[in-house]
Amino acid sequence: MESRTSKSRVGRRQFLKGVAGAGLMLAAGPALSRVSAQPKEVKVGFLLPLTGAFAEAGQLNKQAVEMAVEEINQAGGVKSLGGARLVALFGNSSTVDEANTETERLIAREKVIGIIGAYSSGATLSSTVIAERAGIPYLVPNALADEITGRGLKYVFKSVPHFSQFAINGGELVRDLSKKAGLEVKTAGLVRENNFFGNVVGREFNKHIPSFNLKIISDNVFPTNPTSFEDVILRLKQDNPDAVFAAGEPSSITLLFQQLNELRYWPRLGWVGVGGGYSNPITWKNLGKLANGLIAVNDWFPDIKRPGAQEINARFKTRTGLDMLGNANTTYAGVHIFYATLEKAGSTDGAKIRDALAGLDLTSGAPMFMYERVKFDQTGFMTYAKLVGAQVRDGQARVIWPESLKVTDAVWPVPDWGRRG
Amino acid sequence: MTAEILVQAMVLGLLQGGIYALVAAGLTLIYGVMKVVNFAHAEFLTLGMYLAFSAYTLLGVSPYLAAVFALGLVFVLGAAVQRTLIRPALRHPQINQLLITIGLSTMLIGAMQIIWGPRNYVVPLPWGRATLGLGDLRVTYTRLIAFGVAVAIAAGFWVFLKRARGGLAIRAAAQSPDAARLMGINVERVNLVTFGLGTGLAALAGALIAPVFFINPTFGIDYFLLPAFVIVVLGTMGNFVGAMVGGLVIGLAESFGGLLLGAALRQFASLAVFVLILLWLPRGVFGGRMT
Repeated sequence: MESRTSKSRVGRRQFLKGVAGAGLMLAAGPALSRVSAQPKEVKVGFLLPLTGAFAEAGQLNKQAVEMAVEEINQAGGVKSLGGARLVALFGNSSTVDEANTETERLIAREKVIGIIGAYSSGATLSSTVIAERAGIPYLVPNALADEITGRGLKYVFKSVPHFSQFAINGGELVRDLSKKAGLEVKTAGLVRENNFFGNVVGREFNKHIPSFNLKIISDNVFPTNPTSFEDVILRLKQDNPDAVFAAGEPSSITLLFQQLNELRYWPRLGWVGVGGGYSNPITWKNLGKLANGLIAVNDWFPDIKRPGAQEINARFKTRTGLDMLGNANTTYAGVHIFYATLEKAGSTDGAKIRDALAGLDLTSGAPMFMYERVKFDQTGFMTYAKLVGAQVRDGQARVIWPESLKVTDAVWPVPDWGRRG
Repeated sequence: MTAEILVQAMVLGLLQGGIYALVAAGLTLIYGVMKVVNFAHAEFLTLGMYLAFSAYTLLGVSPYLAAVFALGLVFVLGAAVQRTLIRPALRHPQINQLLITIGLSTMLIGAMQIIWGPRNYVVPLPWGRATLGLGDLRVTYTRLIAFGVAVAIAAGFWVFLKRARGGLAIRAAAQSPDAARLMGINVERVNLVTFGLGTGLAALAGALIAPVFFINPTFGIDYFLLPAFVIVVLGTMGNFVGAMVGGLVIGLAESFGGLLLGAALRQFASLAVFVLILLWLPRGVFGGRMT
């Protein structure tokens, strides 16, 4: 582990030196005429929920964007565009309507050369269509719905796992952990929000979970902005599933866990949360001890065994005081993927950037802190976007699944409230 | 469905209803006296939550003590808002007042996001998760306190309205501002105090529920504005006791509706009760039959 960290650090220094050298060469006289023909800056639009219910995650993602853009500019900007600086322009995607208006604004008024966003799947599905019509490449590093790709849109690329993977991997995780502990698991419960994301959760889990010999016996949908979860919990208590799969946002999860504890309900085996809300460090911080034992399935965790993961997380933590989660990690990777695309394209033309994205194949560079390879399939989906499971212990998520990436063993079954330390 | 679960649903519904009632009380008071529908009401609740949070985390002051200060502080703020924004518009069409309070709501949410950030916070009371167990029934102390204080304050305020001179002045100004003015009541001052009290009650409710829920800038508007309006209309707009009863009715309807129909249809259940009552009593429970 140590050697890995130090190796990557040397690599970065060498890289910076190289960049500084390249910058000097570009600044030299003979190159000047060529440089002046190139744009001084390239504008990239970022759609994030900066206000409203998802503002917390949106603001965290914004900080991840700013960190990535700073790094890229400090290392000399886009070298294939004569060292043009990346400029991040932000648009609010709190609601579908707002995301659409902001997409129009970013494209028509700000003349962005690409868009990255838009956090919520609903806002992404509609705003991608607007960008497609304008011929502006759109990278989705933070919205999960499967339908985002595969609609025949040529300018849309997705570098975050599909939602169906959460259902499949969630099922695998519960099966593997139970098998290892020698426990039988037959029934599952679902807890999800009554919005686009929650409905996708319901559809995918109901579709995939039965293939693991698991029967969903309690499917609970809660309203957006619930003032209580008591009815959900009382129903779970009555249906008594072995394990519960759940999705939600930090605010509703906080309330849910407070009331789970209050009503002393805990499923026989454990609680598996999927998606950004459950893997958000703010959720664990707010819950304190209540989060102990919770299993979160997500695309990444800071202690994962990948090059640069700890280092990048540490830098982010210095800036924000928080771990790089809640899709801040995927958004950060998205900026670097887009930057690598621009280097490859050497152009600000939408069609050329689109072609560069379609033909991208990275096995080194910043995005490797998350992915083993960056390459998009025919539909524009990055098949190397995969999921891992982690268990929360004292505010820290430790990777426990799959076997190849785990750093510690899972506690399974997770003891109920009365038997916890 | 076992009896145990039904009893639990009833108790939890009543507790939730008590909190709704306190939030709705300030709203109905302001409407009753000034006929102003205050769309920024929920933001004063959120502000109360933040004040309790900051008092606890920065100064180590109990959120329940902070509730008293929140009441005072927001009383002054509410009175200032009334003097500068509401009073000049009182004789204008109601749509003006409506738009002013909607604008105020947006401004307050923005201000709170600037001061406290968009992050969710919880008040980390060490005993915040402790529960009182009665047989199979479990209720957190924080919820019991919020409910108890809400009911006590509502009752105390009701006595104040009925017995005290100030209460009489408020009721007189509500009934007929012009007649009250002729009787020597300073209606402008009554309006100022009422608005301060109404918003202060919202902040007090906010501070009381801060340890029960979580806090973010849009908490009030997201979670409490709609139930508060439903309760106020259900209990007849401007009727203080009506708000109390309406709060409990909606709390129970949500609790049983969620249990029987599923949580997603919880609001359907409470709004169905609301519509049915209004069909029968268009002016709300305390408005009397229309003739």
